[in-house]
Amino acid sequence: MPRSRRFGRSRFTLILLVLASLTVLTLDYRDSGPVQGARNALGTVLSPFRSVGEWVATPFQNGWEGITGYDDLKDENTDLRRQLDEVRGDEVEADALTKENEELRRLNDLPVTADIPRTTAEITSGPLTSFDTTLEIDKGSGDGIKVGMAVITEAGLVGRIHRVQGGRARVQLITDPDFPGVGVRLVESGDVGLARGSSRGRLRVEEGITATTPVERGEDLVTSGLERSNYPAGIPVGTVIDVQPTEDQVEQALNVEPAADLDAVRFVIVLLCDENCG
Amino acid sequence: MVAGRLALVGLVALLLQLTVISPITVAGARPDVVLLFAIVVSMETDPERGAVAGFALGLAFDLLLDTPAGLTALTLTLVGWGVGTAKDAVLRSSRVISLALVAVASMAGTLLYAGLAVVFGVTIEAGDLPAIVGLVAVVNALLSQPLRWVVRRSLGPERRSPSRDRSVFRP
Repeated sequence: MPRSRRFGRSRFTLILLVLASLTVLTLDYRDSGPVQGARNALGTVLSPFRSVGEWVATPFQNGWEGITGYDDLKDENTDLRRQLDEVRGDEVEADALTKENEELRRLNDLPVTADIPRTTAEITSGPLTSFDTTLEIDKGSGDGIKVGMAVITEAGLVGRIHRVQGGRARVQLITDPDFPGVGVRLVESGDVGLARGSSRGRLRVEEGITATTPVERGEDLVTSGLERSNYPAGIPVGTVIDVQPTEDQVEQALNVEPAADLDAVRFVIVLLCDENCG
Repeated sequence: MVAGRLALVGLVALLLQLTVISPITVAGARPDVVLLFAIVVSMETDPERGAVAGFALGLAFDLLLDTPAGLTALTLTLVGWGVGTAKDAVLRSSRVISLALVAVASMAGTLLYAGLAVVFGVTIEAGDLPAIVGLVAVVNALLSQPLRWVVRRSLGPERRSPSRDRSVFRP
């Protein structure tokens, strides 16, 4: 085939494929049925292949992690043992305070996180690309899961249900820049702000913390649980790692490390309350 | 038959991305073998087949992601076609040039995806981009030779790049 004719056909194919991509983008933007159906179908079709792939890959991954992370694991182990000793001392006191807090909230007809029905789910897939900030869990609509529900671990807030696909659901991590803000409260001062996803897997609080509030590195943040919030009060969100004044010098901007280890999470708890959980 | 073999290689690349590559993170970035597949098919064939391979695998990947469906397909279509066209413009065959082409195409593809994502309403943190672009370029360059060998085998001797009858990357 002559070169010019081949180039012409190639350009024609390119235009067709670009138009097809834009059509799919439009259909997905409108949240139409065909794209959702295709998502569900492909997820189901690939599921056994993924299981086999993971079964094959896991020993190699473990071996690689063992080789590359041995020293880190040793240091982490020592650090965790030290932290465990500290936590054991605080545990009894914390339990007593939690129970007292729950009693007081019940007496005042306020919602108690422990009373919210919940379901435990296993992570079946982590983020797939550098721009993906979602996890897939093995529970879906049949388990009462709906879009917007809070997802937590024992360590703290992980994210929210973003999409429910039959027996599976996708969780949008709190570090996603497009995650709707989470109302947070500084444990020490009680100041309330709004945390949003930031770069490098962190959160940033830029609203609500006045310049006069003393905030120190290492201070903890929990969900504020203000009215109509999807997140009940008191769930650990993260720890302050950096404090800076905002541009107008009226408030403070906080960089926050998430409380839950979002890279290593294996199981999560979905709080089965989709509105007014605060 | 050739298309079937190529589709099988694409499926294996997709499964590798899902099971082995995606869990690997360096400075918050993850390698991208799906992008590499589009680049390699384009290098071993022609712009048209590169664009078709990029579109097909990109669309399959899109349906597994939570980002707008069609975004990866559009990016890989353009990358596949661009690499095939750029390859035709290269005059001298060299392993260094082919590695450089993979690295540059990987960087361009990642930046193109980020740019298109912003256009379609996805927030991208600009501060994360240098690490992502750098990692994708390096890993793709390293993996390009074995993947090219696999793609070449799946094509068979008679179905490789018709461009100037011989690919400039082949000895």
